[in-house]
Amino acid sequence: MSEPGSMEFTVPMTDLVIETHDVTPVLGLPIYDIALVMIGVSMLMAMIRLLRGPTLADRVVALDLLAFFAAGAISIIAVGTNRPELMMVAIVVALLTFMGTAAFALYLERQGREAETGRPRDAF
Amino acid sequence: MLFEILEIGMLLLGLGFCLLAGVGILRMPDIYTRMQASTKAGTLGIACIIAAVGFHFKDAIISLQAGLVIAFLFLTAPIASHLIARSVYFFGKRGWETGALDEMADMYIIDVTARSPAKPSGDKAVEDDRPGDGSSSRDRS
Repeated sequence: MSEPGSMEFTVPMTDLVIETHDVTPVLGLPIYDIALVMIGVSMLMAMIRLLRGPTLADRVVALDLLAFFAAGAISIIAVGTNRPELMMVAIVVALLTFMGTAAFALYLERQGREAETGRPRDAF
Repeated sequence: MLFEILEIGMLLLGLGFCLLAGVGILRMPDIYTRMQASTKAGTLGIACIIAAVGFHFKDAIISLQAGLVIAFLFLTAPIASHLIARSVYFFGKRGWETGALDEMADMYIIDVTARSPAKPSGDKAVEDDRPGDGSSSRDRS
């Protein structure tokens, strides 16, 4: 035990040491707990839209927003568990989201064109 | 002390915007309005939250990474939403249940069948260009 709010234990049959932290309070307030709960509520609403979106485009938009919220939640967890190296994960999530959404948009466009013309589009 | 107050303020502002984005994507009636709510409010909310995280760790590298996340979000989110809106407008649901203004109709000649040698029937394209019918040809077929 190095810090007062942290606890570490070893995984059985391995040498792996897992270190857990309490959530960091700011000015005596556990606001990162509240932040995680509120962003979880937002993610739940985006998840409902992802599940029951009428069209594929609704689902793509909901997935985009869900990935944004995931990047925010990762950075909140980085503060809460006092691990600043998790910010790199947030960068990677923020970049990969754009790739996924652009690929989905191209797919939507091609699918719409196939549905309109009845034949596959030649090439991009 | 100043940094903590700034951090709490930015965090609460970002959480408010994130909740607004969630409510907007759940309750808006239309794909375009849903996209507007999710992109604008979501991007601003996440940017405020990550700025608060950058204020929390008083470290140059972490602040640089937070700034990178914000820069990537602000660069990529409008492009992604523009791509989705464009593909939806051209080939998806064109009729708006709640909108009365279609400014893009004068800028493009939206007749997909004109580009294709296999032209189906003329009635379908005319019917598709009428605003407000609320259904796409993909739903009908």
